[in-house]
Amino acid sequence: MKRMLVSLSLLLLMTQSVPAQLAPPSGSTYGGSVPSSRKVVTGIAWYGVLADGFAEAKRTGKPILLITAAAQCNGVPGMW
Amino acid sequence: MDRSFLSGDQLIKATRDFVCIRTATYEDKQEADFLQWAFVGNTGGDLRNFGYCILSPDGKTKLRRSTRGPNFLYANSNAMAADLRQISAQYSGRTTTTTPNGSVPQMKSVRLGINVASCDGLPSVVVFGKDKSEVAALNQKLSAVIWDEQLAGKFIYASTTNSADLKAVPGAGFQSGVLVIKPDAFGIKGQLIKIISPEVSDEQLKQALLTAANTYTRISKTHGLHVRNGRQTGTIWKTEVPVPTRRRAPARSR
Repeated sequence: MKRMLVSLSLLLLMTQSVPAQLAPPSGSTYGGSVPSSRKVVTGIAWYGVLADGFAEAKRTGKPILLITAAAQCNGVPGMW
Repeated sequence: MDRSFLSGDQLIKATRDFVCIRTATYEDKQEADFLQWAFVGNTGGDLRNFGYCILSPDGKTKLRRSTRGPNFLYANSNAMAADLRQISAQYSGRTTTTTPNGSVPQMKSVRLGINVASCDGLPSVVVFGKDKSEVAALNQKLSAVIWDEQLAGKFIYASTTNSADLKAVPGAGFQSGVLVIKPDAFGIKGQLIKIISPEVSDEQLKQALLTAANTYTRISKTHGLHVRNGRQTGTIWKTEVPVPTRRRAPARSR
């Protein structure tokens, strides 16, 4: 019985749909950290190069918020 | 990129106690190995286009498990902000310096910087100088003003000494300075908005950047239309690292 339950759970996990990628915006966007703002407003200041960010984290002792994001969508640039 | 989690005022404020790194996936062979560790781990498989995690200051320990994006981990932006505050509180007494940040958070190339600026809907700032020492001096000057809360996160930066890197920006590449560029919708070309002279004072540089940010008109995009237009016009981005081909699981036989 226990084995059957485990098998069923595994089967359920395997058949659950997993998002292939984050959902694209449903409406128009101005992009970036503050996508709804027509104006340029204060946002997150991102290091774009790993080594530069690591050097700053080492210098300051601050933890690291790391994101990787492809600067193209289906091969088309200008859209995350 | 998640379009709502990273917009909240509380969240943006909370990120100031972190070093925020956003690498461009598939754009650097050396970074790819680290990203593989951070976002794929020992499970095998390919590096996906998005990933999110929190790391210790030495970059060796994951403080939160890696996910495809913050929305896979938190209910909303405020929940993420609360978690960031909780994490940073553990490090607040351990910061190793009070010296102001002397670096500029740059992209690895002008080409990538203009594309990312377009993705973000932000102006691109390119430091252009005739040699490395001039670029270093300009970046030093820039670093003194860009971390001000009035300017933080408002530009995407890059540097070059090679005028050929600016061939997609008519009028740029002839004169040293801090160039403010408006990327086109696809981030392939740019329009030179302003050249800030290397001779300006820090305050003049700050005011020039503030004016550029405040007068900038962001381009509105719609995801599906943008991609369709790009494909129709053959506007395709060439990545440095090949994007893995994702195979769909075979349909189960009935």
